[in-house]
Amino acid sequence: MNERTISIDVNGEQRRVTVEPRTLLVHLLREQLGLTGTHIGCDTSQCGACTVELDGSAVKSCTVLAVQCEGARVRTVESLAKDGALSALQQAFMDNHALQCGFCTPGMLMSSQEILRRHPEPTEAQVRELLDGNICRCTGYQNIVKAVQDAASRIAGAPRTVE
Amino acid sequence: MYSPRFDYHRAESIDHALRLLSSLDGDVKLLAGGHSLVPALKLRLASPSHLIDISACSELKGVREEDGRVLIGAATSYRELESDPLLAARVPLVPVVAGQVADMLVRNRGTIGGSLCNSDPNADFPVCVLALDARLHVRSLGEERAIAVSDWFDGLMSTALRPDEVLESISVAAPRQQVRCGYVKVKHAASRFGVACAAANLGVSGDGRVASAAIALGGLADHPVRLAGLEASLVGREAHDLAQGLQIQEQLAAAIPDLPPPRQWLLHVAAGAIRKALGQCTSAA
Ligand SMILES: Cc1cc2nc3c(=O)[nH]c(=O)nc-3n(C[C@H](O)[C@H](O)[C@H](O)COP(=O)(O)OP(=O)(O)OC[C@H]3O[C@@H](n4cnc5c(N)ncnc54)[C@H](O)[C@@H]3O)c2cc1C
Ligand code: FES
Ligand code: FES
Repeated sequence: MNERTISIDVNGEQRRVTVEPRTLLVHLLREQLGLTGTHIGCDTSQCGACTVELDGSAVKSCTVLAVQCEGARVRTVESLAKDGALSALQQAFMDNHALQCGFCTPGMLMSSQEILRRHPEPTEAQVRELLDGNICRCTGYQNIVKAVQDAASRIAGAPRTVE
Repeated sequence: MYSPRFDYHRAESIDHALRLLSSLDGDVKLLAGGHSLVPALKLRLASPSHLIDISACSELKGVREEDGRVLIGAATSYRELESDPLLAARVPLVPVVAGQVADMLVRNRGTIGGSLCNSDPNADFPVCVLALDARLHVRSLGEERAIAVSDWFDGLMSTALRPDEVLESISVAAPRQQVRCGYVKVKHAASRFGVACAAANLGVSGDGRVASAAIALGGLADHPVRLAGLEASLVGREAHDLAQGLQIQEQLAAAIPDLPPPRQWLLHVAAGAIRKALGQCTSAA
């Protein structure tokens, strides 16, 4: 009923997809585009497991309609690793044991990307405040916060690369 | 979870949205940030036949100063309000409150206008604009009106907005004096909405005394309330010593007589929030 065809840039690839107006962005990503890295952890917009980047800001993709994304640029967790190599943030999560079951991790990474864009050297308080929308039931957050700060110093210390 | 089926329309301008509002049949709803409406759709608490998306209307976004008032577009996101330099300089209560709504992800999408139209009794912006004596500028096809915030809230989650109207902007008189503000919310442990939200906005004259005081409290009634008795007792005080000797809990009990249980606890929590908000006004000196 009333299906729409929209154009959307997902992880650098221009896609044309047909969706019902009620299709959520997260359903489009997971079920139509097969990008199952973005998780669904709740039905109430509270857990942040579904976080993706939409036109440069981190959002809960379970609370955005896919039709609203006509012409938009979406980045999911699948966009972080390049040629099989983890990004500095992903590597910092691994090295700091910032995940256990991993269910929250895609959302944590996408929110942390925005934290690092806003604050290249975030304080512990800033990381904790800005990760408030992402729930983790395993780690107790301690190592996630450490990983984001560690990633910040790795990025600052690393030589700049051109994309 | 899937929401009920609806049709979707993207409005390119306010006029376009108004024309759609007047021509579409059935239950028609506007969609701004979607952070109250989409969760409600998913839980099937709402089942509109049409959604009109106003989030792409640039006329509804941004902050500017005009004719002695600061105007905020209804579809301006919390994120933009948090970091707007004009607001920080002229109406600091707005960025202070915006930074405390929900979490970073919700603030990237949610809008001030959506919050005011949704009128959740435990939300942040209803309290904020009540403390600012704001005006809400609404438009329908062929008519514009400005509604004083004191006339806006109309019972639980209900407002003076008619179904054929769009909230266009919110305006606040540009202050003539130095302003001090404070905002404290005591969060519900699970939902993070305010159990009690206290906003204080004070005008301070050159001699360091309070010239005007606005104290608004949300969370305890169907919609936020102003505490006129408390405001009167603040005027004339030294701004560096505000809360000393104030009978906050007594004033509150008088202002909200029909508070449900746990009445004593709510009064205690709300009085604490007001005291802290006044403390922020003092420490900003
Ligand atoms: C996890 C989570 C936590 C939250 N926590 C808080 C919190 O702590 N404090 C808080 O205050 N809020 C909180 N919210 C609610 C959030 O602030 C919403 O974004 C806000 O209430 C609605 O704004 P919106 O732009 O998303 O509106 P929408 O959801 O798009 O719309 C809400 C209602 O307003 C109507 N509407 C929207 N814009 C207009 C307009 N310009 N003219 C006429 N009608 C309009 C819509 O038709 C709809 O009925 C939370 C939401 C979530 C998902
Ligand atoms: S799935 Fe929980 S916030 Fe989106
Ligand atoms: S690692 Fe299991 S929920 Fe975060």
